[in-house]
Amino acid sequence: MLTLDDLIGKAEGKLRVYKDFRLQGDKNITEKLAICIPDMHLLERGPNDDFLDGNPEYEKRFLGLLDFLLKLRQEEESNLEIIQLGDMFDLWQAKWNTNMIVAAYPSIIGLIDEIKTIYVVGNHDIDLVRWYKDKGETFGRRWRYYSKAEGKLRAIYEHGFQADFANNQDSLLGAIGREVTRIVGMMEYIYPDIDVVLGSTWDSIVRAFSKYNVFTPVRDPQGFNAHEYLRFYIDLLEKYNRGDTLDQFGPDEIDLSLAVIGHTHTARLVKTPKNGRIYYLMDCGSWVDGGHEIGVISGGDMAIFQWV
Amino acid sequence: MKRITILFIIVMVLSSCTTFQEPTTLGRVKSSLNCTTYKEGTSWSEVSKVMGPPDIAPIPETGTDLTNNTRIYKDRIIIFYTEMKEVVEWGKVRFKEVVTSMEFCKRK
Repeated sequence: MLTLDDLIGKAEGKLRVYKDFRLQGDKNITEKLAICIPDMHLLERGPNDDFLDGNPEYEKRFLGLLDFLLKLRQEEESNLEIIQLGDMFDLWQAKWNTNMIVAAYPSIIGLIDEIKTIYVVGNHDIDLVRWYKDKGETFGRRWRYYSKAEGKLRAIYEHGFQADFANNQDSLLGAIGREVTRIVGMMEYIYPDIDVVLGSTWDSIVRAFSKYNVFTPVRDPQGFNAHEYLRFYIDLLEKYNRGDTLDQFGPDEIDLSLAVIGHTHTARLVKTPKNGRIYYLMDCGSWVDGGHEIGVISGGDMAIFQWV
Repeated sequence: MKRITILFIIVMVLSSCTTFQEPTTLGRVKSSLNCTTYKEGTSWSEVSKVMGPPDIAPIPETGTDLTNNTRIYKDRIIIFYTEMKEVVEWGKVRFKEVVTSMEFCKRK
């Protein structure tokens, strides 16, 4: 398995650690090099297309990443896992569905399939698992994905909307959130950056409430939370570790310590001890909004990189 | 007698109208159209450049990986190019007309 330093060397200056988001875990988390691509939000190249964001060089940059991953796949073969963390398509704002997005970005869609990507579903492309719900067709999308080390599940990969009360697609609030996004999407025809402005405002409100435990001051007296979804994901990992889920895994097979997500478009890598374990949350940020971030895990070493 | 005369005149006028119409040619029809020739492997961007955005883009069918799609135009013109092909039916030589090429067109 390639180490993170091997990977940086192979990328020849294209990969750099974002901020100081690199951690050495207390145990092995993967047995293969895991590369996670967060939110891409592909659209039909219209004025509201956040992937392109009015910068043709962004497409070239992403194609550069895919070319690199294709070469890496050829070299590493099955020692590599590439996981797209959802919101690959932005079906909330698409004129049609995936159909004309494929026409707009044939090389991106073709290459990302070519590198044998594992797809996790996000809230903006959740329609992919809903269109043919009765027939069980999901177009290869999974709710979540896991990676193993030393015979046990150590990491869980999901989009992250599950922890976001305004975007959880199984709730009424999530449905309202979707409609709000649609309206904001239409406003982008007038002011293309309105989504970024409103999104940042909303995120800062949620983060402030969450960080300072406005809702749960008694339960969380420490008064500070490094990531607004940290509690949700520690609870989820603990639930798995207790064997308290409907998944097929027994407690002997599970020793989860890392959750990898996207969704917030704000990259962070945090760790926190709880009940004798150390838990990690890797928020891979986003490819869109100028993020160009990816998450990478090799054994116990993990980092968020920016592809430049 | 009067009725027969009127009927005769109507028939004559109508039939003479047809002779006023010049036989149309492919070139004349195509002069008012933008066309693209279809053959397998034609790039979609070439087609859409001529035809414009589709009227309907359905969701992909089940059993695909999202890359097999269909696009529907409601009011466009198709030109079929045909020729004769020799076939053998029940041991005898016969001919049938086959399509050799297609052009999809949009009015200018």
